Amino acid sequence: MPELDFINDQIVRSDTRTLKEKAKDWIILFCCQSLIFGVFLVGIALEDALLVTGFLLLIILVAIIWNRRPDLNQWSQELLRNNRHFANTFLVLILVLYPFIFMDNPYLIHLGALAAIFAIMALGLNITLGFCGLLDVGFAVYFAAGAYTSSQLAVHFDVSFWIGLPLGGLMAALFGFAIAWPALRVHDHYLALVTLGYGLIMNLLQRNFTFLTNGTDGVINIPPPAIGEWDFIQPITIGGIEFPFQMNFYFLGLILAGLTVLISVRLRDSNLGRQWEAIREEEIAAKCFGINVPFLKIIAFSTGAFFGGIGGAVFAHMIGFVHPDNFVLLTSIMILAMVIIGGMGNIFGVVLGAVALTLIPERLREFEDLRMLLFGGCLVLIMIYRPQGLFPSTRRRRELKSDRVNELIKKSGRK
Amino acid sequence: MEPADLDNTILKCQGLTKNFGGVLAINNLDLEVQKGKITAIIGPNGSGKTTFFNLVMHLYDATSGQVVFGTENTNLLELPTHSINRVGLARTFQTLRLFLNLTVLENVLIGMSSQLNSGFGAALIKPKWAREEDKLAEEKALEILSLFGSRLISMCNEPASSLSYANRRRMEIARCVASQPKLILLDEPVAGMNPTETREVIKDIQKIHEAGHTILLIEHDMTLVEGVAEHVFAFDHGSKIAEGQFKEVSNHPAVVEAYLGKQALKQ
Amino acid sequence: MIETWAQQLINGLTIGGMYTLVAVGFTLFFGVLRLINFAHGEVFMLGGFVGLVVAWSAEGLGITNGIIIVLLMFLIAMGVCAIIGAVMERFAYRPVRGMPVLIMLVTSLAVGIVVREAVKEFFPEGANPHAFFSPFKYESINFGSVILDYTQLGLIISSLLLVYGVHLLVTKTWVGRAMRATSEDLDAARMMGIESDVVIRNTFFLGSALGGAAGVMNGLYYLSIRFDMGWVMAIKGFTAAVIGGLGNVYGAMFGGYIVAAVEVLTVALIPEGSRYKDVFVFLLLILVLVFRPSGLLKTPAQKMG
Repeated sequence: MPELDFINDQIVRSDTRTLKEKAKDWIILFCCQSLIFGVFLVGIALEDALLVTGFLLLIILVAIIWNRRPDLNQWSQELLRNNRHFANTFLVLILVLYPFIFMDNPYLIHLGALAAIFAIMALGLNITLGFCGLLDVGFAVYFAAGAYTSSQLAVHFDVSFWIGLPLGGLMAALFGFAIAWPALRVHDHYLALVTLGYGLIMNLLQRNFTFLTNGTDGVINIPPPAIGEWDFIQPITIGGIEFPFQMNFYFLGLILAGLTVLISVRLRDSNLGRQWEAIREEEIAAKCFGINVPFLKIIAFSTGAFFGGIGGAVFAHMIGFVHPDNFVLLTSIMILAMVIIGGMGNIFGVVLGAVALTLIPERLREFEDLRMLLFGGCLVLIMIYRPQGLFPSTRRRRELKSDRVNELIKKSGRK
Repeated sequence: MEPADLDNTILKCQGLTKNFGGVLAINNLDLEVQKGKITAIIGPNGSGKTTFFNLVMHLYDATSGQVVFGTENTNLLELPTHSINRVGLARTFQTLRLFLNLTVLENVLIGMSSQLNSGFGAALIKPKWAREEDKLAEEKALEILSLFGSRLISMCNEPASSLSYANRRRMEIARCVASQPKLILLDEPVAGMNPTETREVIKDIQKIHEAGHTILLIEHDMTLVEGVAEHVFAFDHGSKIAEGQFKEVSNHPAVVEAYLGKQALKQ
Repeated sequence: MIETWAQQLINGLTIGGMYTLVAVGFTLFFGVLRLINFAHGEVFMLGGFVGLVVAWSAEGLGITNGIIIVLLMFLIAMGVCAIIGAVMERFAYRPVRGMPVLIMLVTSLAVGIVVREAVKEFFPEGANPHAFFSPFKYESINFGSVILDYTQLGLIISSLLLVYGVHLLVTKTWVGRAMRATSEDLDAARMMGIESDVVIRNTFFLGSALGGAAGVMNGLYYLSIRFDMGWVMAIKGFTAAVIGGLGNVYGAMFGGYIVAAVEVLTVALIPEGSRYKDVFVFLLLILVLVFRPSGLLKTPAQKMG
């Protein structure tokens, strides 16, 4: 299933390796991935903020060295590209195993679930911003729409989470649709200002429309998702081992994030995805070649917003409490930063950006307010030194097999 | 001037006017383009040629007048730009507007957008018809790229930004052809090219014409116009000042005056 | 009835003056850099805090004359903010100059976070609101029930003076002409021998100084400052700048008073309006951007005056 390939965004050429070479590649890849994951585990298990900082600096150093060595870079990319099935399977395995490793530290599992939620939202923004190039600085609006819809339905009308979840997504999509109309008329800075203003208005309304949102009291006692009699805060016990209830949320988040990745990959590789990119590259030319620009932009806004709402709904039912302070401008900037730091348009990068920006601040809790200062400073540095993000999107998805091209070249010939 | 064959008219403008805050870019323009021919528009800089294209593609709103297209007499001024492509018009851009980060092949595929039916649902479910449509489109795109010899095809997996300048101009034309238009509008297809490249592009244009396309082009390069155009319009100050075959138009006093000024005429 | 309106007019003129000063900064930055400097609101906030420090130190030094203290506040706050603005430009905006809009935008948002968090973290009790110093607390001129206190009078006058100063600077001096030329066309200006780096630095000096002045005025008027007040002011400031047409200095002045008028009218006409006044300002921002993106004043020929 090539569409499940979310590490690469390039398509592989036909595989001509022998079994021996393949086995060698796999062993190398296995070692590398295990190493990376091991390092990651150490990092996440570190409790001391200073240690975490040192650890991060070390990673940055390695990344810089890696970046300076094009041969290493090339080699790793080739390796990943040629063994994408292996690499992807390994990655999924790691993600599934993660909570079992930290069974005695449920907080880390909780963080994993939170990272999954933010990954869903970042992937949503990636559709709007990464695929279609539409600046949206008000993404928290959709987060809020999903969270409030699902939680208020559950609290006041006893609506099940499983109905509230898609409804939250749809409500968010509606909010995306609503801003898409005025947003069609503006570009660049002006689009950023419009969405920013939208985010601020909605946040003020969340505080003041108490009949809808309980205002600054917030929505409390949101029930966890439930299946029949069992709900998500009851731990599952299998064979005498009790698994922490955070694992339920973790796997819920993981499955939804996986679905979001799958949908993103399919959209990216489709006719629609290509047309979105055309709009991002040259809007006027896109228009002249039969692309219904306003319609596709509205779709991009609404689809992105939908995933924001899905993330919001899960968030509300996991945390159990929703407050306007969750949906301030800073949240929007955070989600925007996830997309940009990860690499706009690159699905794997965006997910990694979301995971990093969820985990790192949590691990640096000791620094308290200084974290935000660090975040701002790092963001400035990243914008200056690596504005394309950690994993810049490398186009060239629709690659033809070279023999087909050669045949055509021969046929046409130079006259 | 040959008598206009009414059934054979593909594009017809009547009283087309465009007023940019007091400046008449196009002034009461009447013009008819014949099907199956290569027609050229010449005229000095600022005479409204590109504005005319922009009006036809409805990138600007006309101040008054009408533009009627094809046998169904579709009024282009009432259609949004993307539907105009669907009706059968495609254009190139003088300033090159390629999708630089998309591959050459993808650029052509974008040109075919009007013919592709797969949208949001098809992207998610990937039904059989959509996959077949994709495959067919790819074949078709390669066919179009091979119209230009090996120049574009050998680059088909590279981003358009890696093309040379002349090949970018070809890419623009290829993208037009891909949308299967009834009328192709070429905006200065050889601007900035050397004589050899110009000759090659003339051949390309003739090849496309032979494949059955009607072409309307804007050009400054008189070798090109002389070489390909069967009918020529001369513009000045947003109005048509002459039309006919290249010889007649190029010797027309109004045209000489527009290009060289009144003094040249007196000498 | 007429007295209520007169009172509202006075209030509107006071806050409008502040918005105008902030808006001029936004419009100047956009003119020379094509950048919406989201960190400008934080510079405004910083101006307030610097003013407070000046007032504290003046009291410590035994200066009791209110007018001198206020003047010192203005001067030092403007100076500090000008320097901070130029530093921002040099170390954050210059490296990303010419990059895609998104990058510049995120940079300015991030710079804003840095300034805000730095104040919150390093100012004593930075996370809490601080009472501002006010020299003219109890003196006011009363016309019937209309109250014009000296602070308001002073603020209205000083904002007009500053605005007039900007006008002189932009039209009468070499620095201003270079600024205008750069905002018309950066490359052409460079070819004419204008050093764009210098012009952009000067612009940040000027714009940030005005922001700092507005910060002091805000403190004097509301008598309380917070580390997180920059954002709302930033949005009002660029709403004003957008209303006047980004890049148009006189437009920004006009826009500042329009925003103030909308705010005052909302509070006066709509029950519970004070809770929604910001909503209306933001709504105005969106409406203007969508329907009149070049601003309500349409003077493309004379962009910066």
